[in-house]
Amino acid sequence: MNRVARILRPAAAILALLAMQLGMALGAQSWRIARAPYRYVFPRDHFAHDAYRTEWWYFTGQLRGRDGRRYGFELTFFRIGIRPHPYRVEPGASAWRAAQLYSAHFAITDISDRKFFYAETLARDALGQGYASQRRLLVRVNGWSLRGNAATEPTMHLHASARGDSMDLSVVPEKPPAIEGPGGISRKGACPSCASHYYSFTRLRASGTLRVDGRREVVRGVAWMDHEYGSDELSPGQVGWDWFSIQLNDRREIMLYRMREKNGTTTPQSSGTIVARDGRPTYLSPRDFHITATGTWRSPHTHALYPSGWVVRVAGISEPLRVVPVLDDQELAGVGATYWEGAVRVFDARNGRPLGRGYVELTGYAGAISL
Amino acid sequence: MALFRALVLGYARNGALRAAFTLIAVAVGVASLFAIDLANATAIASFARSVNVLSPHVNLQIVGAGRGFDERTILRVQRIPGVRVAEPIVTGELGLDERAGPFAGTVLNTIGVDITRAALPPGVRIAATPHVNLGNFIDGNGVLVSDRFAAREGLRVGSTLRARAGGEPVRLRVMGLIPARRVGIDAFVAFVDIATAQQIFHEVGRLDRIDLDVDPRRLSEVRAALARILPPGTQAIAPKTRQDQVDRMLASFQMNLTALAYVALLVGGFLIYNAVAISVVQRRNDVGTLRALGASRAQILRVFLGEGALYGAIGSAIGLALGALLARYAVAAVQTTVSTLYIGSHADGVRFSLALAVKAYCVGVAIAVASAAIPALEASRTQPALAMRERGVSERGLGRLLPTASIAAAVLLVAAWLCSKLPAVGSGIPLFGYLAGALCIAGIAALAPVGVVMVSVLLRAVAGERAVGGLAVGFLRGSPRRYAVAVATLSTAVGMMLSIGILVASFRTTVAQWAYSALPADLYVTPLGATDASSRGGFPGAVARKVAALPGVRAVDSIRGFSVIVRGDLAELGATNLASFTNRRKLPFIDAPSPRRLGELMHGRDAVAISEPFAVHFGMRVGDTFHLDTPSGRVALRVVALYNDYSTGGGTFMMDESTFRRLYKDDTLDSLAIYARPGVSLDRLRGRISDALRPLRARIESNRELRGFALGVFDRTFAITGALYAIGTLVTILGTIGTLVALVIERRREIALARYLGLTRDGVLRSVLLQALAIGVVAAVLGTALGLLLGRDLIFVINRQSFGWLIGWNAPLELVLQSIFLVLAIALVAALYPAKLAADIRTLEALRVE
Repeated sequence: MNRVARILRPAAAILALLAMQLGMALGAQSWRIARAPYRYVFPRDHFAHDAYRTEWWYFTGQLRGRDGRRYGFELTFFRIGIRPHPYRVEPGASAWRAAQLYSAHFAITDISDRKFFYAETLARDALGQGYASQRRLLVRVNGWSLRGNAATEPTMHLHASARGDSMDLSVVPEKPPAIEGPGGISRKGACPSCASHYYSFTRLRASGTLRVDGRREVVRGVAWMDHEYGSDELSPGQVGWDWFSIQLNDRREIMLYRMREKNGTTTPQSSGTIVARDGRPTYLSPRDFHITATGTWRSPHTHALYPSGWVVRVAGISEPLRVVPVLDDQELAGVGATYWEGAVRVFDARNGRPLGRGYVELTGYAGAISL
Repeated sequence: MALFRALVLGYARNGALRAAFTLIAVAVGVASLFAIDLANATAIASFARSVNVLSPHVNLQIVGAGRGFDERTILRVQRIPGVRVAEPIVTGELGLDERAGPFAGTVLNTIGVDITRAALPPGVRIAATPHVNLGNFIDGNGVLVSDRFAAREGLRVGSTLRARAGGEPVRLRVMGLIPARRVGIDAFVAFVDIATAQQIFHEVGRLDRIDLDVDPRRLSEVRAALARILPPGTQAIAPKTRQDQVDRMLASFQMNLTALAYVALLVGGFLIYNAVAISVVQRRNDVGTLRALGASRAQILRVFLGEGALYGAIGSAIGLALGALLARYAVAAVQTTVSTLYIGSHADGVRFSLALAVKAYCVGVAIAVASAAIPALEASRTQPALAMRERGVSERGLGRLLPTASIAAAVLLVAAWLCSKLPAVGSGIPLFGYLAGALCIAGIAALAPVGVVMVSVLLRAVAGERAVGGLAVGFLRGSPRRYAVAVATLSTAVGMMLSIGILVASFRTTVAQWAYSALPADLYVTPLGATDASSRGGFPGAVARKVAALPGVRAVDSIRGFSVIVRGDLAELGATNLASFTNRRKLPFIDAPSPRRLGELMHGRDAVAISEPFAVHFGMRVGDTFHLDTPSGRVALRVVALYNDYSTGGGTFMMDESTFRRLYKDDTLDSLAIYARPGVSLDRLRGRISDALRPLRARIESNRELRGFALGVFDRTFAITGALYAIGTLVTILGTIGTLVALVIERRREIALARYLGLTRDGVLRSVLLQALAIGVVAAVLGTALGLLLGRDLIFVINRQSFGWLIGWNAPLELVLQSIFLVLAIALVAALYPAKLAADIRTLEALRVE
């Protein structure tokens, strides 16, 4: 008996160790990591990807009313995975148990009246409070929604409303989806998981209605969509990013992002893309573009200090670009994260000639960002 | 100012001891008022937070009957235009301490909210650490607890909180601390996600309530839409309904307490009157001189009013400091009462309030100035010449005083009687009851001069012209008004204390009798964690059958209870197997048919028995019918019996188990009452029940323990009256000393003369004690009368109107004798110092001025 025990005990220990390692390996594999090569399949990849931890559908754009009033808008739908597989329905389990959380941010910049409005909403994947389909383009968060048809270049409908302000917008791609980053991945850092799958509709024709300050406005304009999904994208040293989307009047678009490290340096994996008139992307490395902030703005709400105004030089674009916020205060100080997301105008830095419009996103200035 | 310095400050230095007495008395009065105000404010604050914590925007609540309602209701509610936010809520209680009794102990009021909807009060958030986020809060049974609770239990972010819900063990991860004080939330409130709440409280698929933020312009539209979609048994109510009822109950309780605090303050006022009167008497000479030198009446009046104000200002300042210390004790007492009588709520420490401090201070100063007004007026009327020539006699004859006083007393007492017949004002505020009390006090006080004259006549008859008695009689007859004030002070204080004693004694006897008849079973079983009938987490229905089958068990009554809404107001519904309880006469019935007939009337039928507080509150009688919304729709319930109940402040009503199951389709149980077969060891039966219930955990108590517990709760509740009793006694002694000192000083000449004519020092001592005894006897008679009158007012008018409690009159003889003894003791103890003062009067010095 003793001898048996003596033999069995180390065996049991080894087995336990093995089981532990296996468990850890399984745990690490529980969220799918964005890896190259990745081949996009549309329209499937417009839909939700629950196997990845985070995912977002990001719409920004600038609109003009019939009477010439100008607006900027942001409407973003986030999916945050709690666990990679849906809950097994066990007897006695609450229907409010959820594997996914959904959040959405909605902001309108009233450029003419120099006003900024934002709201956010959060819901779980339970009892229809929040939902994102893996079979069609449909995301709903507490009544806000993104719907699209099953085309590679789908017509999409956006709806959001909060405290009397609302937006109903249809957006139609004028160019095919632009894959951001070579090999189907967009690198954010050095670690293997520090990447995401990321593509954009860089030029969307937008039309619809806004309700702002009790006014109902029929609007038209140009919008941009990013769809991005991945797991564990940020490395611990990163505090946030500066992201630029610029739509030039010559129908070219530029996307740039600069990942910022705690020590103030730029992550070498930062990158960008120039989308040609025909939609062909050209990928930029950090050596290919240069961003210089020309001013700062201190938020009266969070006291965070943001850069404000830039000169951007990009290899392949002949003019140096002066990027100017249409309004200083376009900060979203939310429950989830605080960041600045604002409409900008783009000029030739040499002579002030208008070159285009765009949106800039600044995160991590009011405390480090986490996904 | 110079005048003030000359007259008041110089005098105060000389009479430091008297000044100290007066200051202490004012301080104690202000302190008790401040402490009780603070305690009341704190209790309300923690209570308000436990009931309607979530959002100030909530203007409509959907509540269900009993075990909540289908969670999918919220989907239809969210779609109604005009509904801005609809928050699903499941509440329950987590038990932490297994030693806790059924009404007390540590219980976390746990609120399950949809954590993703940011439904938390401002300032309550999930900790921002790398390991805690919204996702694992939902997924990992996260809980938010208050920082104070965490400190008490030694918890940090990341710790595991072990608790019990309905008898079953539960483990939650602390994922955030609520800064309780800053958020203004009770320390014993915890937040969990709604999924967690549904699972631990066995409420999967159900909600207890939906809090709605509705566009106020569309409120009626939303109400109409809700009426169409809400399932039977649920209804939309304004959150006020709940709060209203609680406010009303608290208001009554607080009025009782505040009235007690004013006793001390009133006595303090008498004392200021005396203090200023003494100083007026002592300085009559100076006042006369000053008047002769050209000081105006108004100036003199201002000086003495200023003296009163000074006493008030300094005394009240000391009182505030003292009150802040007392508040901690008062909070504990008030909190015990509030949580045991009304709802499981917990004290969250004293919350100091500048407004209440200012109020107590102002009341203190105002009473001081008002009390000083009469002697100050008297001083201002001093004739310059008269005062310089003679001093002492300041009172007019008795001719007018006696008839006036008698008539006043009669009028006041008749008015009091009339007031006691008037109903409560608004909802349960016995305003006229309090007025009757005040009139009684005034009426008895008006009788004081009559009493003084009678006792002096009596004393003269007994003592004849003997020196000791003669001096005492001379005192009494010389200034009956001053003595009358002393008698009034003493009798008011003693009368009020006696009345409270009678109330407590009557109440205790009644509760004891009720506990005896309401707890007839041998053992009572409740799930661990449950604290009262309305709490969550009962036993499954099968438990009753399982226990009934145990050897040694003769019968089992199962009890189910929770809050329902009757005519827009909250009431407690109880359900039990009526057939057995009518046989064993479980409820102390007031108006009911024979047990057999009652069984026939109630078994399986839409009929109920209502409690006396329920009947008073809703204005119902046997034979009436009322409507109740149940999961089976609206039913008309007929009232077939009336019983007495002291278990809660609100109204209760009972229905038969079979009726309950039919209407509510619910067979969970909140507790079991077990009747043992004769000769069975209860200890062994306890063990068997405990084994049979496993894995459910339960508290099993014998009827003796529960009765003891009920009385324990009662005694703790009324502990605060004991403290006020002591304060009252202290203040009364101080007051009486003050009065007697004034009289001795006023009578210095007579005393000196008596000594000169041969009365010994001992004789003086005895004569002062004799007059004190005379005062004591009068005060004892009047005080006892006042005590009995006020006692009846408290029991039959005030408490009946505010709580609906039927209390049986019980004025134990010992209590009356004790208070008579107390009066005499107070009078004699208080006379010791003045007697010494009188005896020490140097004959020659006192007479030299002549």
